Amino acid sequence: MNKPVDFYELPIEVERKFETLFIQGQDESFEDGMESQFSTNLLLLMNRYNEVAIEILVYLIIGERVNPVVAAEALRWVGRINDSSSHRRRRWLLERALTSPHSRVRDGAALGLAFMDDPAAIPSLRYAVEREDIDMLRQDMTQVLEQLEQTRSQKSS
Amino acid sequence: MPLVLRGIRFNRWYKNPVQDFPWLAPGELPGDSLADIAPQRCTLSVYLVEDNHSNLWRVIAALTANQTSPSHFGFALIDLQMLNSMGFKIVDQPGDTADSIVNSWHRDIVELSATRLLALAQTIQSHGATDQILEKEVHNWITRSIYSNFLDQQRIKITSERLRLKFGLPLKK
Repeated sequence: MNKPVDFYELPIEVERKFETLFIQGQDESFEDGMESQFSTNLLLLMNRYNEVAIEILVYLIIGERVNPVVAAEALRWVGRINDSSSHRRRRWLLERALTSPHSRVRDGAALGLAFMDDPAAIPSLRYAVEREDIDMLRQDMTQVLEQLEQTRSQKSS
Repeated sequence: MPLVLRGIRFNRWYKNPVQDFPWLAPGELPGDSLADIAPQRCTLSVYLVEDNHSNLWRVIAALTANQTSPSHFGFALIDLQMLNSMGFKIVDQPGDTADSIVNSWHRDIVELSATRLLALAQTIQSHGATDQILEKEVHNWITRSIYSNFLDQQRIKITSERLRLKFGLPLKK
């Protein structure tokens, strides 16, 4: 069980760095398959501040304090980070983001989970598929769900 | 008659995203969608895909091998005949990917006015098929294209070291 996040304990200067990054990200045009200034700096900050960084992302993204398009971009990259020590927390963030009121954030979360390819996210994804109102996004989440189920069956065989 | 493929960001084309844009009238497209068909000098780059999608994987492998860090790939497919009948002017123009055959499937939609561009967006929304291929599959297709020698390794633009190692490509200096 993870310790509940006490947002008042987050270092304010680190939080400001992330907030500034997200504000600057609003001026960028993101392309699939391409790094951006935002993604490069996000990965640098996450590498530097590790566990605290994830808590700040929870605060900013789940708390709906940042632009949803930039939040979605962040979630895709959160899923792509190759770091086993933060794997569970990152997956938790992505699972939480599946319940965002913003469709693009839900999409970013689903894509982040597809990158992680961790079958432990299956229940959250299944729940998200059941609740999803937008047909195209539901279809997309279903695709991710099928991928994770396939990964699970490959791992168990 | 083949289909025309245009890469898009899938989430810009959701139908009736009322939670995100409550002001959007039913059936209307969010303005953001137009960013995916922004022309260069009134010209839009597209690729031909067979009706039965038999070459879809190869086109996507070539397009994503042109990216620095290929991940998922969103696209729209539109009937070429429909575009012709609507008066869109489509010309042969070699593409710029690492796969020379895919390059021969490249076309330009030319002489696009703002009005024609909007008509194209509406055609994609009402008659096109949109889909998204997840990263895992995209990577399988790039690997398949590399091992089939469809991709000229010198022209692959992937810069991510992790991915170059995964695809068995030499690291860039």
